[in-house]
Amino acid sequence: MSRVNDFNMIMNGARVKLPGALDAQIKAEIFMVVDEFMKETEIWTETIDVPVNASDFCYDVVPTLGLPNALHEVKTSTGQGVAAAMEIPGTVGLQRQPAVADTYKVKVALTVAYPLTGDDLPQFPDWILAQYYPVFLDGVLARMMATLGKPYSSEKGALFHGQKFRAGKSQAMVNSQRKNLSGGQTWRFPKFA
Amino acid sequence: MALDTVQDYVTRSRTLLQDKIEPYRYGDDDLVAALNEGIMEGRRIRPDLFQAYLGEDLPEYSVAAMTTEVDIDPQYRTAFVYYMCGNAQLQDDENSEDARASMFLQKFTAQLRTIDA
Repeated sequence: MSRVNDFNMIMNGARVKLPGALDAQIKAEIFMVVDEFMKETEIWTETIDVPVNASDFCYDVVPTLGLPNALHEVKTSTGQGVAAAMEIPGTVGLQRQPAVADTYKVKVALTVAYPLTGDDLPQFPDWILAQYYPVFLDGVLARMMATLGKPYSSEKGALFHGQKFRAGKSQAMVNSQRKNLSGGQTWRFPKFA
Repeated sequence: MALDTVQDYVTRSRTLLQDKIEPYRYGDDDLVAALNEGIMEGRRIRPDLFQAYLGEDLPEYSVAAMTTEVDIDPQYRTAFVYYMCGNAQLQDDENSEDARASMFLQKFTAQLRTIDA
């Protein structure tokens, strides 16, 4: 058994449903769709160790893959929360200078980076592709069908697949919040109690 | 694959134009010029066909290099053959040729824009 781990399902699905579409155009739309998906759902996150000192407020955050898009939290090495913001994606600004040198844990949401791999496709964790390739396909179909003057132009098709893409993004956000726990508790007692 | 080089396009056009015996009615330079004009037309109608050249000069082919590969997606190569034939027949001023030229040029546009053509 194996999971979907490459883009063939999306490429072949698009080639079949978009007669006359060019591979290069499909790949360009895949990048746009995945970028939009990652930015809106924020399901791709990474906790990055950032050495801090007592003299600087701003620190660059460099993920393993992709680009930082949104800041989720900053914690000290002992797990204490730290007030911070990320006015420019990739640079975390602390509200107060650290009292002592430490290694902070900065959790950021990521999106796909450009340039792409040699095959002009975006790089991101395989599990996201395996889980959400139908959603990406709907996004690609919606965007391609919405273009004018093409053999695959279709206003109704664009609307239909666009709705499915938006629903897929919403579901992804919910799945992420529930940590993919099926039938899990949807409400939790507030942390302060 | 079919229609890879400039020569392939010229040869195929000559078949449709019934101009396979020398001396040719439509010279190689006319047909290659038609191919270049077709590429410009194609760029206007389907910019995505020439994504690699967006913001740059379009490819231009020459009778001096007939073995050069023509950078067009295989799905749309026959459309450019039709353009070459239509463009060549526009040179003639007979009514029957006008109709045929118009048919070829319309088929070129239709194939780039629709599936049913």
